[in-house]
Amino acid sequence: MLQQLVNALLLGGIYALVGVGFSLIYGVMNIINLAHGALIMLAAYTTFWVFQLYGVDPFASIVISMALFFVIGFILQKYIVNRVVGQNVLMTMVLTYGFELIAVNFALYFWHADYRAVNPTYAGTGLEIGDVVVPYIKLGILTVAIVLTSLLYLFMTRTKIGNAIQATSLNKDAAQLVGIDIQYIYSFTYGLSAALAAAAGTLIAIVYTVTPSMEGGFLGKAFVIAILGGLGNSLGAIVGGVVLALAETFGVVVFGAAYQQIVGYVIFLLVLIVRPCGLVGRRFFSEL
Amino acid sequence: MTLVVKDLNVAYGDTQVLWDINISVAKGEVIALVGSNGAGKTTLLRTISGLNRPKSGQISINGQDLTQATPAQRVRLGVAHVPEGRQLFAGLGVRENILIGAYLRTAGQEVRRDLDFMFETFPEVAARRNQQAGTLSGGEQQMVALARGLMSRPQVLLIDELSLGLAPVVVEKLFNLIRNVQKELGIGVLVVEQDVEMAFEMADRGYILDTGMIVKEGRGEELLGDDAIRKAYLGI
Repeated sequence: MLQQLVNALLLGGIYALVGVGFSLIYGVMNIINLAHGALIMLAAYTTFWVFQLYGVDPFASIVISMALFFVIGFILQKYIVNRVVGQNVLMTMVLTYGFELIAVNFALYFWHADYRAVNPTYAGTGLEIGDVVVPYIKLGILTVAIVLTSLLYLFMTRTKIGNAIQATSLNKDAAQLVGIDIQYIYSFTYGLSAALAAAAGTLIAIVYTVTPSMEGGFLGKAFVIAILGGLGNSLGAIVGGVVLALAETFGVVVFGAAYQQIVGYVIFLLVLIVRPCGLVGRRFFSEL
Repeated sequence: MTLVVKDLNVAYGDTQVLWDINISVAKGEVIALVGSNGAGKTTLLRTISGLNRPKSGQISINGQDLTQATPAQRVRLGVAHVPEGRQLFAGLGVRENILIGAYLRTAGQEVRRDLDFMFETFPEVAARRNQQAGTLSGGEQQMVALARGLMSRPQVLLIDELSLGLAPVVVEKLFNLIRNVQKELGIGVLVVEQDVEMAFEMADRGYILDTGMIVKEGRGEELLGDDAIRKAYLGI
């Protein structure tokens, strides 16, 4: 039981990162970014190839991936998505779904549907505390997830641009009236979200297999996590990630492995029915 | 003249809402813009601050043409707009709301000095600086909105519906505060107001906007004494 709890918390770190970026984009631009899973997938491949070809440790390459995906996300928003921000939801969904199709087929064409894995030398070793085993890798992943989400929190609350992102998400007219260039903020936000997706993709590549079709599952999870935390409340996504991880882990214990995915979605539906603003809805944020 | 609006025409799609508007606000002047609901007052302010685009006409500040400028560029050149209904960032703290008004300014020391000045000017707000802005009363929110507008060190402050949802005592107090601050900082103020009597009493000059056209302009007391205006807007 204790082992399950530890597993769930370790998984929750990854899930939090998966959800945070997705929620951030919705909160600031009201865009459901269907390309989020594809960004995670591409980042996982980046980690895989950098490891395979140059032997760079994934925990080191995460910094490079995040920087690279920040730039990609920024450019994508600046030159393409900014043209449809504020249009109806369907328009932005079609556009981001288009990105997803392109990314998945790109990966299929160049890298084929093979399952690939990153295997650092320290894989398989772990810390034993009584009966509980904590693999070093997962401990490292959880640490990275905690550090990144804390940094995001500090960035959003303590920096000028973080405040501008929050202001834009709360009131676009007023943001423009104090001199905030909201197009720039949109680009920055997409870059930030892509960087977080890259971090998630890197961590996922370390513990799971990498394949072009992995994006669908993680897009679905991003959605569930974001709703659990309160859509648009990026910090609530941390709670959403941990809740989903707990639900999946203990769902397997109670109902069997076949029900792992279902448990998450059932909780998702229940939350939508009972508490549509999410488990930790914040006042004045994401009021729909 | 600090702010000059010349022959301004504004339309939403095919529907024209402002026709050949000519107004000006000089340094140190308080100007009242009065008119019934739907006359186009808010549209005029939104066009001056760049949230709406004009069909034709010109807007300039200190001789510099603003017509093609983005809202951010206009803030930089000295236009601040306190929008209708305050439009605070409800989820951010009071202090953050005021501070973000200085978003484009880089001199940290001066900004901090100005923030202290705002807290001196609006002591009610100072006492609540760490609360979320959405939890404040209407009058306090209006003070935060005014402080936020002033933090950009504007040449001209546009204020939309100062009195919206506020008790008359509060409005009077706010008007006096604006008068004092405006004199101290030497800026021009263009205030849109429903309370015609108070507006013209406080203002140096006034304009009356009716279905998208300026139908009358003059000095405050002149307009107050005008029989037609008294009939139409004061019901006397």
